[in-house]
Amino acid sequence: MSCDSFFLLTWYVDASWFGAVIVVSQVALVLAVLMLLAIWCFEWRKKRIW
Amino acid sequence: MKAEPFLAPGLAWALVVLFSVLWIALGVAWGRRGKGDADEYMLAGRNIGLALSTATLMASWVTGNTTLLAPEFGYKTGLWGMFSYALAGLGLILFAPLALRIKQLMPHGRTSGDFIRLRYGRFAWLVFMVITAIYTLGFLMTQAMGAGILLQSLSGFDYHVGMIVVIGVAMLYTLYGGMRAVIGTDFIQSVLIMVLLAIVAVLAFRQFPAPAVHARLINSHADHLNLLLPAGLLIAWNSALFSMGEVFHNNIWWSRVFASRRSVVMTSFVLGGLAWMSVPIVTGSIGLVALARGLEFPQVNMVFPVMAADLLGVGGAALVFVVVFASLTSTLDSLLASTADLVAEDIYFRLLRPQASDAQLKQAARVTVVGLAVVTLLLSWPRLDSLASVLFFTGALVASTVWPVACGLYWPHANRNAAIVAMVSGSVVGLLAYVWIAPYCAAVFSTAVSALVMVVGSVRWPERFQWSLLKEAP
Repeated sequence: MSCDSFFLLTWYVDASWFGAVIVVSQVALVLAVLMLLAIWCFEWRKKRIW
Repeated sequence: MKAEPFLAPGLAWALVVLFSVLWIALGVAWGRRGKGDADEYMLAGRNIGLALSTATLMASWVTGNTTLLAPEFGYKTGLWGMFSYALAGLGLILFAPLALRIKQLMPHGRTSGDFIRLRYGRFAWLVFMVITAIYTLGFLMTQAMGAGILLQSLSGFDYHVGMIVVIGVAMLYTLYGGMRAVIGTDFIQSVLIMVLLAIVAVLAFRQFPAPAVHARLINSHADHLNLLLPAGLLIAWNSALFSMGEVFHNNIWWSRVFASRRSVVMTSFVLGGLAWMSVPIVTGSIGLVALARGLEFPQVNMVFPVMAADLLGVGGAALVFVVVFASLTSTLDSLLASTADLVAEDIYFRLLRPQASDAQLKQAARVTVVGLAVVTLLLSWPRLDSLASVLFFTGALVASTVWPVACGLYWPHANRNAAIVAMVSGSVVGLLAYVWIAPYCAAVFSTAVSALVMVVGSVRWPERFQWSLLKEAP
């Protein structure tokens, strides 16, 4: 990230951080799906869905 | 940029029919399970596990607004637009301990209205019901308008036809299957939404990589990458407080508490909130891609569908169509079911006909589902240009309920008159801030005033509430 002279008003995200935000959000979305499916499988085997 | 349909009407209708038949068939099948009494219809038997409980929270919170308004925020405000929308997940996470507390204090409870009536009395209940009615109708309207806009922008359907189709489908399976149908379909819908969103986002950024988007934005819209953007910070605060107001007061979330197994209720709210937060960031990032490409939209809430169709062709349009269709139906079914519970339990049973049988209560809930769907259609018939204007208006009201609900659950000295004044004064000040300052200030002012009144009033005139009074028989 970079700051300019108007320190308190501007703090621009640089390219690497911007890329990280995009990638992390997409990975988090995929992990959320996997988590849901894993919990469902576990509860289904234990007959604890409903 | 002219918003032209990207999906052939035949393909759009095929998708509508396919998913409509699927939701209705599953809803009717799941609705046949269980004992068939009012608790089964309204709360799915009160024994939902972690997977379904987490998924239904996610699916209900991924609304038409998340897929249409979050990209609008990203497009208009940049990174803070995305982050502030994602902060709405805090509402679910912060409600987690309260959810467990509700489950402990109200083992037989059915609605948020039950709590307010038993904790603060009839007048506070009346104020609360007015707030929740306005919010719920506003929420229903945004979903209905989102439905009309989606089908029109993607496939050229008439705005009203799209609205009728989506509301009709959600109403049908909610009517026949009750809360069990809502929660069961929510699981499939949440998985479908997340998988398809991930596909759209990955494909979009493969065509227009993040470094290229960043380079364009830093040259032409640098303020959109500014983490200290004053308006962005204010929107973030507002979003977090607004979401707390939405979750803390609305029966969508209270009904999930009563429907879930006690051992999973707190975990499901934490997991649901955390998982949900990635969704608006992913959809909001599509808005940034649109901005980097220099596209202008006559109607900014069409950013996501138009961008996906533009970047990914017919396949992209079809994916977004399914995502938004699932988002809208999963939120509308929750709204219809939980609001019908509120009307049937709080107004029909507790106020008008306390002698009503279990079967009559269930029938009242079913009739209300249909009535709400009709009212939503009528209110949404005239089309508004921005969903945000509808959404922020209700923020002033619901944010005023955060402290009365939280204090009422944990603090025996919380005063009933203070709760009433807190909700009224918070709503009034929030609405004045909405009009005089900016729409995204409404929830901040409302919460602050409500907190002050609630705490000062309860310290000055403390009550001694007996928690056992909340264990009212069903």
